[in-house]
Amino acid sequence: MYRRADAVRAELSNIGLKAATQNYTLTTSVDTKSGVNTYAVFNAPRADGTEALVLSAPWISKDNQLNTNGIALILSLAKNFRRHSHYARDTIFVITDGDSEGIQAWLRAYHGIERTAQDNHEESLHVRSGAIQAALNLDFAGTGDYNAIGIFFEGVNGGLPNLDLINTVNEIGVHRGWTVVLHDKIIPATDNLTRKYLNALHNMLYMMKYQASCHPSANHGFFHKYMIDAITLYGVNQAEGSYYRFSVHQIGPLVEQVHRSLNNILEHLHQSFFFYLLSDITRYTSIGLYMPPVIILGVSFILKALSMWGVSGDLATDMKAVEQLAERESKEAAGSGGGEAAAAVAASNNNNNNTNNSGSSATAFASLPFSRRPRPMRVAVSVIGLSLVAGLASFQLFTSTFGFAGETLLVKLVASVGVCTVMVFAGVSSAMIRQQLLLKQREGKDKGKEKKAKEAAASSLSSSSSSSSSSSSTLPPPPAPAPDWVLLKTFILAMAALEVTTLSALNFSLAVSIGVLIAVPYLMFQPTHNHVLRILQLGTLMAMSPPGLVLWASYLLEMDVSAILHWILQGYEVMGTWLLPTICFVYWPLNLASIVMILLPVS
Amino acid sequence: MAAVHQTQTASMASLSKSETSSKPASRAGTVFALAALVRLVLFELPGLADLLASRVEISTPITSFKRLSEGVFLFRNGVPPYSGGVVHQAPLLLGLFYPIISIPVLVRLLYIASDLAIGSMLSRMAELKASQMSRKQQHEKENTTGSMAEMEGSTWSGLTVASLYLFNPFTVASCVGQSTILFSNVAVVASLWMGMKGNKSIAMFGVALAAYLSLYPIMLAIPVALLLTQHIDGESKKRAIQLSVGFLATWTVALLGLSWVLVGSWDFMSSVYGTILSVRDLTPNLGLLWYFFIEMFDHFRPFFLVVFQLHLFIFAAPVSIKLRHHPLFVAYLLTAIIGTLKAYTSVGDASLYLGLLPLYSEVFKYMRYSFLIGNLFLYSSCLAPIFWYLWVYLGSGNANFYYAVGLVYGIGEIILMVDSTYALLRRDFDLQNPPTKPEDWSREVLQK
Repeated sequence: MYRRADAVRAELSNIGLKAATQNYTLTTSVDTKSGVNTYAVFNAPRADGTEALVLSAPWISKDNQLNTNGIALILSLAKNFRRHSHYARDTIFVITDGDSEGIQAWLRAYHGIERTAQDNHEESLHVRSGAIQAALNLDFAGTGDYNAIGIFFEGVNGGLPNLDLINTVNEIGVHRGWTVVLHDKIIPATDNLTRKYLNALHNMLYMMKYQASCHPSANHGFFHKYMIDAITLYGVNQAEGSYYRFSVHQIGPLVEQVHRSLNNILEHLHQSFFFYLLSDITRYTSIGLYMPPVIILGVSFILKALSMWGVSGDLATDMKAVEQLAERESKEAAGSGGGEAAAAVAASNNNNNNTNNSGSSATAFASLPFSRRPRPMRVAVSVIGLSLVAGLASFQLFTSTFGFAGETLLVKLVASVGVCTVMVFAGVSSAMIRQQLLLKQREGKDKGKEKKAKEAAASSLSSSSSSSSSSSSTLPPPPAPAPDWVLLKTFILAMAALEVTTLSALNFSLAVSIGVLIAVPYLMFQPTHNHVLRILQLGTLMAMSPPGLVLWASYLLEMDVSAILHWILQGYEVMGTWLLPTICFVYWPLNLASIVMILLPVS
Repeated sequence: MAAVHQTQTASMASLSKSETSSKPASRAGTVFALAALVRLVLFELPGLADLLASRVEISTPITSFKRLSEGVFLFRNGVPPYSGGVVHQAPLLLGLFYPIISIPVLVRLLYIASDLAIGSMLSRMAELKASQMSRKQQHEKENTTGSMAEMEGSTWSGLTVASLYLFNPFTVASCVGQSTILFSNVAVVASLWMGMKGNKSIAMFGVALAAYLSLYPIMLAIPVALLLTQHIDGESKKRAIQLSVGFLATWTVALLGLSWVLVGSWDFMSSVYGTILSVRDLTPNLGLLWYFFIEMFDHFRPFFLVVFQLHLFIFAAPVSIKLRHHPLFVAYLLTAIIGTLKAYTSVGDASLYLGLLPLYSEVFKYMRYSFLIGNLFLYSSCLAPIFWYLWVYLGSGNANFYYAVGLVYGIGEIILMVDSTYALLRRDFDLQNPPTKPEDWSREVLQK
């Protein structure tokens, strides 16, 4: 490892560049990785070294072969650049070690945020240049020929480079007679419209898959974090089909021309081509076209939440009861007009009540309940809070090391599922207990009411013109508070809307995947008396929960469960992807809350 | 939120009436201790305080603790702090932090204590308001049929009001981010409390201090004067107002004079109040003005500056006239207007008026957009950091993104003001015109 880095450094020095190596060590909760990067700076003869471009190549290619041609390209380009004097920006050649740790270590050190801890350290750089404007990562595995140039452009957490970079490569490639494709698959041209459409869909979904996974499609993806546009040029070597083949000698001029184009632009690429979906190398879908669907998804949650909020508060006003009451009162008024003496007696009997008729209706008004039924939010708020805590707990479980024997990711998964089960149990049982208490209270009240009503009936039998106390007993009973699940579902939907829409600004593909996955179940599911339906809903939600999804993935991709967990965790710890935080803080809590919601009593 | 407590309040109020005398002290102690504990823990979390202090939503040029520290450092080393363009905080604030800034623990304790003081004053104000209201109802009951009094929903207890302030995420973030808006807020709440108690001198000192610290609260002199004179009539009312104005002028002059004595020049006037009024520092924030003044051609600047500042101050008159019987609500509304329309707004301003609003918990059941408002605040607080990240760190977004969040936040604030004012007026209408006829019940009342 050190020898090959040193050999390349010596070679770059021989060419006449300032070359150096950089050691790094990275410790994660799973293992320790270390390696050596080699880098060299070519100072542009015409510039003051305030701006730079990067040409990088990893030792190991995307398809796990040695990146022989890529590194050969770097060396020969370095040699070539030395002979010319037209460069206006410095060029930095970087050959990175490891999977993705190398390029990250180098970028950190270049931007002066290297870490110096014992188990997590990046050596400071000895040779520097100016602000990096753009970067090309070369990935040409093996020593053979290639069919086409593939472009990888998706960065960490769904970040994208400026579209003009991709366009530049395509223009130059096509001009030179190359086939330039997205990713690593040559799709034969066709006139069949359906076929064309399916090809475009395939490309787009392929891109969205990379974005949604939050993982970069190659090493260029880490440049985006530092506001550097970067793509990977990949040598596509497709055995089947009789494609024209290109040797590495023909790739050199292409890379040189792309590099020269970047060298010639006056300023950092900044036009607003940062949000796009590519369905073909020459076709893009702009943000204005792809945002509406996800906004509609979000709006569907918001509308449902708003309507449920309305339902939770509104009680169809029982106008009939009000009218009956009014009629009764007007009759009473007439009756008391006829037999004034009786009314006077009644009035004197009820001294503490209001004496005149207008007073009695005012009392009726005052003691009438709200036409809004109360919304007790305690259960909803505490379930949402609990599920967030459960999400946080599982996140902590996954990312910290406890050091007990047999500590594996699988054990941690089981543990976090346990935490979540406890949370669901706590939520449901406390809601149930509250429900029982409320019911008891109401029963007690109702009994009291009935007693009163009986007395009133008796009194109305004894005297024809009843007192105003009987009118209060004919009032409709105070409305029952909205069921807990309605409010909980309102909150879940509001949160889902918030999460889908805000996430779509950061990582469109991830937001769409989550939105599409949760839309139907979250909008439709609700507690029912039908046990089969309830269990069905519960099963669906469990299958949708993160552990369920991991199991699905391991079944469909025929991968080990712990391998998938390892992939997610490494993504978070090594690359800084937000997949794990998104799952733990966004996706899982909602899922847990929905499970609780399904289990709540219907009314 | 509004409707949450409808049921609970009734039971809580009855609870607190019957068995409160021994319990609430310990319960209040728990709440305040918990609030202090949360803040202490958050202060101790590594990097969090720094992160919050560097957020533009929390620290504005006129409230940033970093700038204050810079000012204290300059002051300590004999450099006039206001000659550069960094420090925009009042001199007495420099004087307050001069002895303690090198001891972080004391600074943190000062912030926590100030926050707790606001909470405790709010709870006392709530209790005072409740007792005043019940006295008024008693009074009305004796005179009239009494239907109005019974219609009155019970309000939230002081402790609820205090904990709504103390555990508001905006308050906590602003406190841990060490935004100096907190001291202005303390002065505002203290003046309102003293106004309710009828102490002219201290109430006006609070207004003067708040105005001295952040200028706009000078508008609150009107609601505080209304509070001070709400129970007196005729000639003595006139005298009381004259006296209050006199106090206000005296205190303001005294504070400015003391500042002059402290820093030895009048430079601070342009650096503190000049910056607030002429919007010289265009660091982005949640407010609505920075973007305007970045985009604007220079020769339009003075005109729009005058328009925007007048626009803010002009609300004092109509609001105070229309709602003169609810001086506390006027104060809430004016702080909300200041928090929405001032050039350097932050979540600290929001924490003040969101803290004052629960004092009027009886109007909540008339509010129509509480869910929408809650969502707007939630969306803007989630989107602000995200769009800032897209703009400043990734470079894929731009200033428009962040300004859009400011607009959403502004819409939320404005809908809140409009809706709460509507609710108050509607409640007043129902109180004055209780629905007596059956037809009235079908009118769009929330209370049948």
